[in-house]
Amino acid sequence: MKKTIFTVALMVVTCMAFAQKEFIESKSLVGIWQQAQANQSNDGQIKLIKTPVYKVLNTDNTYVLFSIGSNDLTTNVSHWGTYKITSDSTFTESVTRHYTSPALDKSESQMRFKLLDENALLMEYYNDANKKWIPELWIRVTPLKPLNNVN
Amino acid sequence: MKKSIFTVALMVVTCMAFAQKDLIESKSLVGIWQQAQVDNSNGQAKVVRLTTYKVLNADKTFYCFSINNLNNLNSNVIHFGSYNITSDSTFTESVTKHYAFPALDNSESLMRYKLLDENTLLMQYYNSVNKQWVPEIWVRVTPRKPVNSIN
Repeated sequence: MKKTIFTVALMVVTCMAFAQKEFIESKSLVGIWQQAQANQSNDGQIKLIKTPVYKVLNTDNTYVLFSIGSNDLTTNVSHWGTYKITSDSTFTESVTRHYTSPALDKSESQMRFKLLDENALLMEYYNDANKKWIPELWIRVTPLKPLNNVN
Repeated sequence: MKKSIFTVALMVVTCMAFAQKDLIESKSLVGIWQQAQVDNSNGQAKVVRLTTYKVLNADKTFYCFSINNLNNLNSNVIHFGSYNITSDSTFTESVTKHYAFPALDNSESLMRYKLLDENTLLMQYYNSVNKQWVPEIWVRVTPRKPVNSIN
């Protein structure tokens, strides 16, 4: 019995180590995402503008969304909960706590998603009031490139 | 055997649900932290927030990411790994991958810490080159206050 518990505990720890690398260097929906918007300039060029809104989709199917305020870089968590991938293009988001809109505590959202490439995610949530899918664009927070000037 | 594996698995899932709440509404070292510095330029000490974030997860993994350019808000993961609390004022940080300084891959740092209040953390890491403890201030990323104008 003790041996079994030890073995399972060891498996859990090993899984966590793999999960952490899978999370940081993810090529799937899992990962740290930064919201962006596509702006079209006068010459017709489309440019991605990153916004200070971050969504972390953890490997244990929990998620958290936080953003930076406009004045003094104060950063706050807006909502958190769990998510469940239901197909290769859909998932549900279950809000445990929604601090900005407490009416959304314990609510569930239907989501569509598409990885445009490994690091760009098109996500859509269904707005019940307008009966419309609202698109959001998210860019992955990727590992920093090595700095050369330090030993 | 099957029963004990099921019991351990159930415990793990239960822990995860609690762990997420622990992370977001934490009053301990666990949590999402934003680096800050004390600005004393006009004679009155003021805590100024920076754009580096450290997430100390309840499962003892951590990662650090920062916005490296405030103009375009480009954000990257700097390093990740695991940590181990060794006393009420010390912990060790084991870096699995350090993207900025690959020489620090698989390195370990001794850390001192003190919670100045629930949401302010004084952390010190030991710089073995200078033989000095280097202080850092971190401010917790707390839940956002409800917005009244949203239904």
